[in-house]
Amino acid sequence: MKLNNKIFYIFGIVVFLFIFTSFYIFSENLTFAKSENSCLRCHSVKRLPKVLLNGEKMDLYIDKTGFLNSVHGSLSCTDCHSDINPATHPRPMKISSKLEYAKKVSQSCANCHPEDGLSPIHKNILKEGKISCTECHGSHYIKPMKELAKDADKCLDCHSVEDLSKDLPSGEKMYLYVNKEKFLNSVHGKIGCLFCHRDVDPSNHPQPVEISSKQEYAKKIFKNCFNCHPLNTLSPIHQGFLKEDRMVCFGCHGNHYVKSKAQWKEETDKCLRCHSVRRLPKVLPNGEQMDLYVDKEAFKKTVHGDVGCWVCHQGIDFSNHPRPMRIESKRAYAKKITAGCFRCHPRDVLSMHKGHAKLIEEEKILCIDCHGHHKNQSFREWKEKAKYQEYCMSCHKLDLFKTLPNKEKISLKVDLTQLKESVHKNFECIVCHKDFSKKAHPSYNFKTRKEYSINLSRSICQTCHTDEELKKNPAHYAIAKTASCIDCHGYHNVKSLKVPAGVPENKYCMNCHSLSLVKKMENGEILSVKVDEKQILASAHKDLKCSQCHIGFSTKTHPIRSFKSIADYRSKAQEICANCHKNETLEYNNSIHAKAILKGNREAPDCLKCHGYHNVAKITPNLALRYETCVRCHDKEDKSFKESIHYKAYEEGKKDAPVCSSCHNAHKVLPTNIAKLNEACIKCHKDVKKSHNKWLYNPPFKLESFVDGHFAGSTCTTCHISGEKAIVLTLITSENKPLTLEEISKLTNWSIEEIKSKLDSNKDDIIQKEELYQFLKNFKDKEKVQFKGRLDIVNGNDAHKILTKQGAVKDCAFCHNPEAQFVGKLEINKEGEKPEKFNLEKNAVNSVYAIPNIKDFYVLGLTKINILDILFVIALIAGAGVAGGHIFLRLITTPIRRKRRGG
Amino acid sequence: MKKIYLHPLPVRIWHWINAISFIILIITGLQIRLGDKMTFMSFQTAVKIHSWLGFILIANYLIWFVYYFATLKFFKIYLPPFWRPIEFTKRALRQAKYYGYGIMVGDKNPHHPTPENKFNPLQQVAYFLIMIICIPLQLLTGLVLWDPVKFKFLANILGGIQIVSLIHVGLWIFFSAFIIVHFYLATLGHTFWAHFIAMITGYEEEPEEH
Repeated sequence: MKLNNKIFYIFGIVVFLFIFTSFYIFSENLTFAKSENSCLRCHSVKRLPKVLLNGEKMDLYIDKTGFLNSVHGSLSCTDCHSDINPATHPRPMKISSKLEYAKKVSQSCANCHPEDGLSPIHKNILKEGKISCTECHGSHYIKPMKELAKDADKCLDCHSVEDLSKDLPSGEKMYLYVNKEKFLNSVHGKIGCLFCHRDVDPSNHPQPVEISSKQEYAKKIFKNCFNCHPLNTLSPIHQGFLKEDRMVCFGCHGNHYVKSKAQWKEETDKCLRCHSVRRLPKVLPNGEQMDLYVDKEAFKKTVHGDVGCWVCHQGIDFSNHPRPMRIESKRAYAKKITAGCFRCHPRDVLSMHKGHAKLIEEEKILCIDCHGHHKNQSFREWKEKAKYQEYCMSCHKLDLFKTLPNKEKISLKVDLTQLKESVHKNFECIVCHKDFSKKAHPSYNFKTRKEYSINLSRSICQTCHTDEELKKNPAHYAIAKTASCIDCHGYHNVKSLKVPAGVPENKYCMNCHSLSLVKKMENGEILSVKVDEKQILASAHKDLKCSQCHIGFSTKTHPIRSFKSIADYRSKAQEICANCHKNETLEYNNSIHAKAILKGNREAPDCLKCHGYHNVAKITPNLALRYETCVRCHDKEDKSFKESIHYKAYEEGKKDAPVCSSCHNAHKVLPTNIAKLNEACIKCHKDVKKSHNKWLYNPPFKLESFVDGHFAGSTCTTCHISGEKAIVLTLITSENKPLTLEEISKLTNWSIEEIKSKLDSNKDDIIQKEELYQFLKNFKDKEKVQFKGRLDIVNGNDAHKILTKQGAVKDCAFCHNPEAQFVGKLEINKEGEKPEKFNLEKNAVNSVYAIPNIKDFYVLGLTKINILDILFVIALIAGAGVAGGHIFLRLITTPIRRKRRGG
Repeated sequence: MKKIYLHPLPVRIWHWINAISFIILIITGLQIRLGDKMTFMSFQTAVKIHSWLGFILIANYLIWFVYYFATLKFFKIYLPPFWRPIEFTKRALRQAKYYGYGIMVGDKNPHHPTPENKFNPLQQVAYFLIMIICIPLQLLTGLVLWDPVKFKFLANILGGIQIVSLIHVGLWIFFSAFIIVHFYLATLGHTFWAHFIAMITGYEEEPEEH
């Protein structure tokens, strides 16, 4: 190159270098204006976004005026954006997210605004580290805090209008009114509206905004509380219910008029100024007196001491208190207030404690019942310090119940006074209830009350009262094996059962036997051995000692006996009665009742069934009781008896009226075929022979034996009752004893069924006379049998239907007539039982065979032998025939005689 | 014809009381027995009459008994001569032949009643049996039936009340037949009414012996 070209180039480079350097040197001073002009020159261009790595669009637009008007308006951009070197800007910068960038930039805030100099509210926020300065303060348009208040004024210009409301789609009316003064006095008074109402852009407000419901809006806004008040900086009580949007802050703190802690305390003191006055009662409409006194010191010491009255007593505000408040009852008010407990102490958190869960569910016991209200202390503290009794009783003083699977209810309420009066008065709860403690509260799974009491008796009582100790009293020991201790002894009110010496025997026995004791039989049956003392004292045995009947028992001895069954036990009971009532027992043992029991008839009576045992009444003078005792079982007979004149006498209250035992005997009740019941009639109707003899006699002499003859051949009932009557033939031996079916069976080697079928060989249910006498042939050679006859009633029960005197039979022809209204009955006795009766043809007694077989029974006219009537006729004919024949012969021989005479 | 005083007054009284009683007894007995078929009187009335007459008859029998035994006439008149059996039998047969044949052909009665020998052999046997066995039996059984309790011992001797009744009814049948025959035989006297009149007056007309 040429020299002038070289110099030109050198000169140009020097000038360029000079300009460059001066720019560089002076740029320091001109940085602000320069950088300002130069930053904002680009950055005041709208729609200058940067697309970040996470897809966000970061707007790089800065409003020049806005920025210059802000508190940082005099700073240079790089004071904050220290990461940017104007010389090398723009250049590709990796920013992962807006937040990340904001955080990064916010770090430079601390250069001018060190943490210590910040107000306390910042401490928590910055500790959290989640929120950057720019989120609250903004970035480029930061105004001084005072300005924020001015902003608030602007909002409040409209929002302090009282009726300012918004109708929501949910139908609610959301009031937009904010009390200016109150708000400015609140803790948030200085920060203005937009910290919370972040959704509002002042530049385009108001705008139609979709708010579906108050709750939804509140939730949205109150999320912003955490910006300044992060969750983990809040006191633990908040942790529980702020999770999962359970609560919104304004429920306790309010929204626009949030009080500071100091304000809260001030307000509480204000309440207490009045409410710490003693004797400040409120008389409720139901007459109760609700004491409004709150012990200030005590309340302050409680866990709610600094919560503030209105947190629980919602709705009471200084602006509206006191004023007439309608409270139905103390309980109703308590219910209302305690419903609010769940706002801070949510149900599901409380229900994690099993005991609590049930109580909350049942809603019978209110929080304040256990926890108190103004005087509660921290439960934890109290739990550790309290004595067991106090601790347990805090719940068990209440009407708690446990419902068992079988629907039985056990009361868990403990009466402490009972306990204090018992032998266990010095015990703490856990001495007996060993598996419980302040930490442990097991739940038992017994199915029934009985299971419960038996199991607990065993595990609790027998820990101290061991088997060895109990064995000393054998009766007790036997019971203790089957019943639970508490059935007799109770549990919390256990008193000493030591019987004082010298107590009368009956009192001693009744000590235990007044309780619901039972005795188990070998076959599993259960007998109650509870004795109703009242019964005994009202009975005929009231002056007896227990041991006079229950021989072998005394205050010193109590044998344990075993019986196969209740029936077995009862049968032995007879022995007790027999100790004094020997005759009656002997008579009874021969009776049909005793035989019935031996046969196993469960309905049959023994001493106890008729007389009872402890409630034995004096029965002999008591006609009604005697009647009722029999009629209890024999109702069919009672029905017939009621038709009789005897019953009429009883009804009329006649003292000597007959009842069942008058005729049938009380104890020696025999089967009616051997009971000789005619004699029973004569027992009362002593002059019956004489009175009958007045009309019942054969002339020319009145002989009582004639009456006897009638009595022997029939029964009183035959004439004196209304009912079907029969001629009864009873099979007897030659010794005049009844011949039983069993004996016939032996004689003939037939079974009893065979005998019956042989009797009625044509099976027409009635024995014809031929069948009868044919039947006899089968054993007549072995045993001289006979028939005993009588006139009797067919249905034994009809015997009770005794007629009046006028109704009785007096017409001889009633019986003494071949056509008398009798049916025939054949009676064959059975061993130990009532005899069997068979239908018999009535004319069996009129057969010629009756002559040898019915030797000692004859009723004129009725039992005549029919064939003799025929013989009579034959005889008459024969007689007449002889005479007639003779006459005839004489007639025809007249000529012979004439010839002889004439000849 | 001579008149023989055959029947003394006691005998005649006795006889007629007997006769009427028997008839009424038979009728009332029939009523007692056939209460359904006969309604002459009630059972009660029949029994009353029967009982009274029964006792009258017992008294009556005693009259007969006392008369005939006190006078020892019984042994002469009623008692058949057992010590002369063959002779008696011969006479009896002869009498029977008379009644069966002789009377038809006009024979004379072989027996001539005298006060000492009133009855022909057949009569003797018959009346003896009747008076000593039949009537006492009937009276006794009647007593038993009248009061079976008081006279149980009697019933037991006889074999029970059924037997007693059988005897009583049996004798009743016999007596009923007997009365017919007796009545007829009574007409076989000298005249139809001869024996009847004799029983009333006491005198029987006997043909004189030539």
